[in-house]
Amino acid sequence: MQKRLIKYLAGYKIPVLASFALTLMVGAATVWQARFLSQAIAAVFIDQQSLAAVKNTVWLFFLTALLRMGSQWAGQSILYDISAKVKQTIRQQVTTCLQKLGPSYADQQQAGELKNSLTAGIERLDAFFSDYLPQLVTAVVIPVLVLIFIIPGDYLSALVFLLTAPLIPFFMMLIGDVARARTQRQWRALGRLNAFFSELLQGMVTVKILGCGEELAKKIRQVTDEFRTTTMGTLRIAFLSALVLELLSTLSIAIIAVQIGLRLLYGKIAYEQALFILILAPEFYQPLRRLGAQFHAGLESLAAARRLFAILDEKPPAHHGRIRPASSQESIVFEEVYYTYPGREASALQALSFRIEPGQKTALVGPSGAGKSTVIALLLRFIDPQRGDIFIGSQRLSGIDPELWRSGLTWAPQRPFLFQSTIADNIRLGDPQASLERVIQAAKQAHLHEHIEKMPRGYDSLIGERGVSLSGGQAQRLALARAFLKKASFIILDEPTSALDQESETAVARASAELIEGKTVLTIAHRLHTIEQYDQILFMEQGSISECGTHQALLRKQGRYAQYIHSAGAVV
Amino acid sequence: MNENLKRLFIQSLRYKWWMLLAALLGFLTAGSAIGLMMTSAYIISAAALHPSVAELQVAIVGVRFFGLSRAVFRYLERLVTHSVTLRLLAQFRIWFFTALAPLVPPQLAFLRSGDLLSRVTADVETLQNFYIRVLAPPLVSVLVTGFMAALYGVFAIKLGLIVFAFMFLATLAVPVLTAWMTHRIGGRRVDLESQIAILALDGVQGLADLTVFGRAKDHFKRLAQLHDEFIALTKKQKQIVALQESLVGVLMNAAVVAVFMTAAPYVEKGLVQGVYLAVVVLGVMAAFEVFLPLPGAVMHLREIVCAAKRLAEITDMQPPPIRDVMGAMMPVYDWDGPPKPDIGFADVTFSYGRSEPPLLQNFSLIIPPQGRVILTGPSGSGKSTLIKLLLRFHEVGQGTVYVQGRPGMQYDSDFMATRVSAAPQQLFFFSTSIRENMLLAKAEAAPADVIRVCEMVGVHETIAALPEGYETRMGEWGVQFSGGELRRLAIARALLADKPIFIFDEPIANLDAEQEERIWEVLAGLPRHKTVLVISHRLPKQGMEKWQVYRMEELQHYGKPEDSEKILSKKNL
Repeated sequence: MQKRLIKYLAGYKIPVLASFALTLMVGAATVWQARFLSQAIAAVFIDQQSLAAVKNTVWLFFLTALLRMGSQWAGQSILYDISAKVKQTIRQQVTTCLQKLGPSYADQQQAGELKNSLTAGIERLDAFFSDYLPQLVTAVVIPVLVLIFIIPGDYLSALVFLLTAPLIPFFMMLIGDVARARTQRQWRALGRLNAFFSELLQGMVTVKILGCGEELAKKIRQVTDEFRTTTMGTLRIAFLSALVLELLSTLSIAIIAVQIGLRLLYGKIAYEQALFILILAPEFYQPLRRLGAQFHAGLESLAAARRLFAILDEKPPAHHGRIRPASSQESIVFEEVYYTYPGREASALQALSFRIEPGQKTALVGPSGAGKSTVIALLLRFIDPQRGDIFIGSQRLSGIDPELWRSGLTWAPQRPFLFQSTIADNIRLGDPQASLERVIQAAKQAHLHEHIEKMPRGYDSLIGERGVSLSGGQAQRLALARAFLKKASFIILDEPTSALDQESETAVARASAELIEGKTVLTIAHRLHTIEQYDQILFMEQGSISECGTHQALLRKQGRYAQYIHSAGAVV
Repeated sequence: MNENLKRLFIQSLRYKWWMLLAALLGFLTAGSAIGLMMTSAYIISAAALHPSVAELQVAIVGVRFFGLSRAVFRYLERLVTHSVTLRLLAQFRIWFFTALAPLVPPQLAFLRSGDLLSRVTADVETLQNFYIRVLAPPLVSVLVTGFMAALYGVFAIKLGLIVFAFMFLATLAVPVLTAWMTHRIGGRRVDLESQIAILALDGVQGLADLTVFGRAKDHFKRLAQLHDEFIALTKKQKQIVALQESLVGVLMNAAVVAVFMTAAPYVEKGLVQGVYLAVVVLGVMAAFEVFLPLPGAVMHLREIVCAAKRLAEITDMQPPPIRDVMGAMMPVYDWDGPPKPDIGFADVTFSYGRSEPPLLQNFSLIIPPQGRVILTGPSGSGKSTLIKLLLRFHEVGQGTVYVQGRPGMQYDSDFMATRVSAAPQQLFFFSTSIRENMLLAKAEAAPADVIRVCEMVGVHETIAALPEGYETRMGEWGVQFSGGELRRLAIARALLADKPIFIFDEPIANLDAEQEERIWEVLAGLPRHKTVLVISHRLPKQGMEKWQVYRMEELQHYGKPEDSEKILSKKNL
């Protein structure tokens, strides 16, 4: 995990080296500051000199301080810069990958969690690149530098430093493994907690209808308490490592102080040298202590990275073909197609075969769970057949470039997703370059124009937050408006299962009839008037087609279809 | 003080003792570090004068004590501080949820968007930092400043004043400078953050639509543009904070120089013993560590104020008032007797907006106790609206809605939910297990009860066939189940809730013939003492005699209130 993250730094060798050089500068300045200060104090205290005599040394001390603070800031600034660039790279990779994985992957995930990875998850990487990793370097550089300056003057103190320093990373690693596992658990708990909240609010109406608000308030307390328990469990251990580190450093300072104090007592060491070591002692341990503090944030960073890498490692379901689809007027043929959704035992499609000729209007009819939506998902290339093939003319669908394939078709789902943007932008999904005139034209064709006109800000009305919401029928018409704007030759429709209001019902019927004129059409149909007009009815049951023909022919046949229409009927 | 900040403060006061304890521990930690350096400096300075070992004994014990106490206090401080943080998080979450609970769905409608997700998860999470990042650093800084000024004042008043001056600058001037330098960045960053959240969620949830229309690339490109700007601003902000931290370092060194320059002449003149020169200088160096988190606190304060402001927009909404409608009593019932299960609409006129034409006009319908009623009529005639009126999600314009013989306006929507078991058309299932989703209707229901209602509607076999049975998680939006299965689960959930009044909105949509008849049978077979209202396009094929059927048109009386009175008296048995 760490190695994989560090690889992202490969492109930034010069800035990384620059920040390393600045760290060295900080180390050197630290040592010189201690030298000047101990000189000045010793001169006044031991040699009884006047202030005027040491003034220059004091000013040198201050200048070195400025140098140290300046280098520290410059080094940190460079690191923030690198970290920002790496975050951009990873964001780019993850969003590209998400597009490749497509809707079938996104639907399996919790939207809130996935969104969190994309936003907060990427932000958390900062802790690794600009805090944890540099601290790891600093924790080596500064102590080594300090040692180099102490050894020539005082072997004994250097020995204390040398003996205590390695203990710190040792304890850190010892406790780190436990803490790492715990941190990941905590990150997952946080993800669940967030998902729980976003859902709670999405389902607020249901919560009110069921009257389970109090139950859920209790549940919030329970879930947050659980979260607190796991987090405190993590922290107790994560902080334990910091405790050990701090103990080591503070006790070492105490040992050094007592040890040089006693040697001073017997005149074995000069006061100036003793003070020099004492001033440096906290500087020696501080980077190691800070590392302990950053360690926890570093672990959180790694846990976030794990989720991001999990997305990157996911295999795209469709092997993306390169072939351009031949002419748009080709027959669509399903040959013995099988599909089973992951996690479900029963297969959604079983040896499904059918044929749609160019210009033909085909309706998929059948009970819920018959596999109608799966057919659409296959045609939209959200999923690929597990066995069998789909042919477009003579080409395999799996060999065709999915983007080019989709550019030749249009789709009006039952529940189109409404983006939190203006109505006009939502219609423009069909064609981003469309002028407002064309958008209005499409809305008129979809019989939605009048309704939009009535909104306070017309086509500029915002959907979503503090904006307008559309009824099911209106959303359906918006989907049709998108389809009108796109002008494709193959149209896939998914009629709403439930009844729309009367106005929408007629509007949708009229608009759909206009839309499909002269096009190849596949519709999941629930309406009698739709079915009656179509060239071909595919009656689906349990993942395959049990009857096929025109509405009239099938009714005459008095088979399963006739029975179904008779009993269930269509919505209208 | 900012109103929202004040509210936050009041919420936090619940844990004031915890917070004081944490601050005290923070002060003791800093104090130990200072003590360690000062006693160490004293030991070597005193030793340089070659006294007997005995004279150093106390200082040696002191050094060891501070060495230990610093680490221990720090550990305790961090534990207490984080525990306070998580307690505050729970506190703020529940506060937000309880503020939300009395609101009715029309008020909540606009919240069903991506921004809400960012609000509740991110904003409430931001609030949790209120103590650890905003209150704690200045609290500890002030304590340390006071302590150090007093301590140095003992050596010489002037030293005390110098130390106070530099620490005052670090406590106040540096944070103010930080606030000024980051003023513009902060606001824009918060804007960007919420826009990015919206785009990211739209991108995830609307990926199917984006993909089919070939717009996914553009969508994520727009996300990338905003995110790049956000990253750049974050970087700049962090660089400014780092600059301020270096500034604190410069102040510390300046303080060291000032203390030295002041103390040296005192030593020269013998006003201060020479042993203490190193002590006061090293003490100042150790003390400045507490001022380092202050520039960061400014950033956090700004974020928290923004988050609190956004949350307040939601929590400040008022639920519809509970009104005592004395005049509108239904004549049929004895008000002092036990409440009777029934539903009544007396002369109700309702429209969704002022400008919209009324959906219901002088609508009257009385369903007596134990009634079995099917309400049919064309789409858009307001059938589904009746449920929302009964649950008091909307205010009726005119007329009165009765539940169990009492005017609905006397109660809030939560009370109504305890009387009515409803299966509306809009279905929502949480991505928890099937069992947990069912138990929302009745928390104390036994597993056998859950199975019983699922058997009644014919989904038990489907569920039992799943590898994890009733423990199977339902995907977000319930994607794993077909529309018909979800609808039947919603019916089962309403059955489990088992309240005096049942209302089903289009319970048989998406169902095949066999399932449809089964549902009709179940609904007709509900216990005698329950009142059942079914809204449906289609009527049952068998057992019609069990039902009373009304058409919407019969019940609306455009502009003729006298008719509705007639209906009221006629229909009241």
